[in-house]
Amino acid sequence: MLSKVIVITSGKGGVGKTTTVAHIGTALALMGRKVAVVDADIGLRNLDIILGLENRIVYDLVNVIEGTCKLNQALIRDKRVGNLYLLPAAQTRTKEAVEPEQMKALCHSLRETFDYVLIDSPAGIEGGFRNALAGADSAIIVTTPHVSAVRDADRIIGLVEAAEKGIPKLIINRLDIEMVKKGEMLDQDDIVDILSIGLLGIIPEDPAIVTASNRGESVFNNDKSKSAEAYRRIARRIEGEDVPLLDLDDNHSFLGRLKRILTTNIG
Amino acid sequence: MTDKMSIAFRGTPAGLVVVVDEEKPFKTIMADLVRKLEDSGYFFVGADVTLDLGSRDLDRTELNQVAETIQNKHGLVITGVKTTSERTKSAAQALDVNIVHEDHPAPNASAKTEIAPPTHATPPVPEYPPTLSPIPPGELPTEIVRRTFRSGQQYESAGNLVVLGDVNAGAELIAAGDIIIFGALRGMAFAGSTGKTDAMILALKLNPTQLRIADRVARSAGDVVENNPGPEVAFIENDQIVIDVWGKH
Ligand SMILES: Nc1ncnc2c1ncn2[C@@H]1O[C@H](COP(=O)(O)OP(=O)(O)OP(=O)(O)O)[C@@H](O)[C@H]1O
Ligand SMILES: [Mg+2]
Repeated sequence: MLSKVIVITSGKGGVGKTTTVAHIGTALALMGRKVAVVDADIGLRNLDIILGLENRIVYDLVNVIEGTCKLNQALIRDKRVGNLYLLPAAQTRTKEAVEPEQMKALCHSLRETFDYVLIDSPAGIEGGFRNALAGADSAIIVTTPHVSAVRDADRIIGLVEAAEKGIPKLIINRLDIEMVKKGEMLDQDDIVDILSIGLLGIIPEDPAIVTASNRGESVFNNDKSKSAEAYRRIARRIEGEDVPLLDLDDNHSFLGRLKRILTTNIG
Repeated sequence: MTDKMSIAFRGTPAGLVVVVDEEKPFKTIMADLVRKLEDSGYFFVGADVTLDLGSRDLDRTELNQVAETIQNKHGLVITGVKTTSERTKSAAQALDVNIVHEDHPAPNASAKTEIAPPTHATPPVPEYPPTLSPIPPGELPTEIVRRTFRSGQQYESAGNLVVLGDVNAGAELIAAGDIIIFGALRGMAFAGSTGKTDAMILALKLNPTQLRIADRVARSAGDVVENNPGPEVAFIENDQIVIDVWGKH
């Protein structure tokens, strides 16, 4: 298979990029793919913490780029899923330590070994974002269902298009159906209407994500988790499968759907 | 929206003008210039621009740096520099850049009045034969742009502007004539930017954050109800911007 290099980014910070990279990476690896997750948020690394690999870091991305170590010395194998590897960011350096051209070259080398290279990007329009984008074939934009996050996502989509990375795909994270029902949160149709890009998936608000991340675990440990199901479906869609969304067009069937899945899983 | 930028792009009947702030530090100017050009993506590839430096003093190296950024990195063509500063003038002469005198556009700039249409890294737009222009006064050229305008993106037209796509919140359209949007307007639209009070703004879904026509400004009421009464048109009536259903009359 031809390997894919995908950057996961957002306009606003804190919308769940790192969490999404960790879980989609894990889901793809569980499907048998060889996956590298790259932390391009240099100076603010945390993909290692979410994966529970922080204490195994010896070398990092900047070391590889500067030639201090070989690529395979810096790659850390995940402790649970054998096919998943992390290339950590440098914590003590700034984003100026890396040039877009160097990121391109790095992604190119990673392609030789991996089916998927998922790049965790810093938010926003700074240099770090351009680095993260440089080596990618395509982009996934993460947003929460808040007006300001969607507005900033829109801005980033424009930049991704201008950088000729094609039209990015959208993930809506932390959707809370109760809030949508009360009209306190944008629903997925509003968001897709505004951003007019394809929807790759919707991840519900799930307190289990915070708990799992703090322990360096993934939500896949819990079979009942609906967010785990959302991540699995996203991974299958990335693989090219045509999987229905967890929601349907109108609110009613959306709720019906989620309920059905919940009861199936419990039962 | 954004902070006041030290760089502004204006569509004028004589072509695109890059207006440079007279006071802000040079570093800010360069940073804003790069940002503006990058944000505009490839809107302006191949466009002729005049640099309006006002009374700003630029030495040869600085002027060269500005010109390089605009021309080499972003594919625009500088047809002249407008300045009242002697220092800048001699820098321009040393670099062999045409000096444009107040209100007299560069001789070859007047032949072209259109801003380049947006292209996605396609080669620069072909030259318009000089015989096509100038367009008679009162009759504005019409430009058709097929794309979605996203937050942070701006587009200026020296004539009427037709957009086939949405204009999202945080995006800005400015036209000397009418603005017609075959899509949703959620951002800002400014029609009649050079004072044309009979200019209008029409959109299939008119939900703007702000509308401007000539010297009038109207804000959205704030509560963004995406009610959809169909195509609507905004124009000036009794000195105020009013919105009406399109096709009622
Ligand atoms: N679906 C979800 N439900 C509940 N909490 C979530 C969800 N997704 C992410 N979070 C929580 O939101 C917080 C921010 O997530 P994360 O660090 O992944 O965001 P980010 O976009 O990478 O942030 P930054 O811009 O700082 O890099 C974390 O505490 C995470 O556990
Ligand atoms: Mg992060």
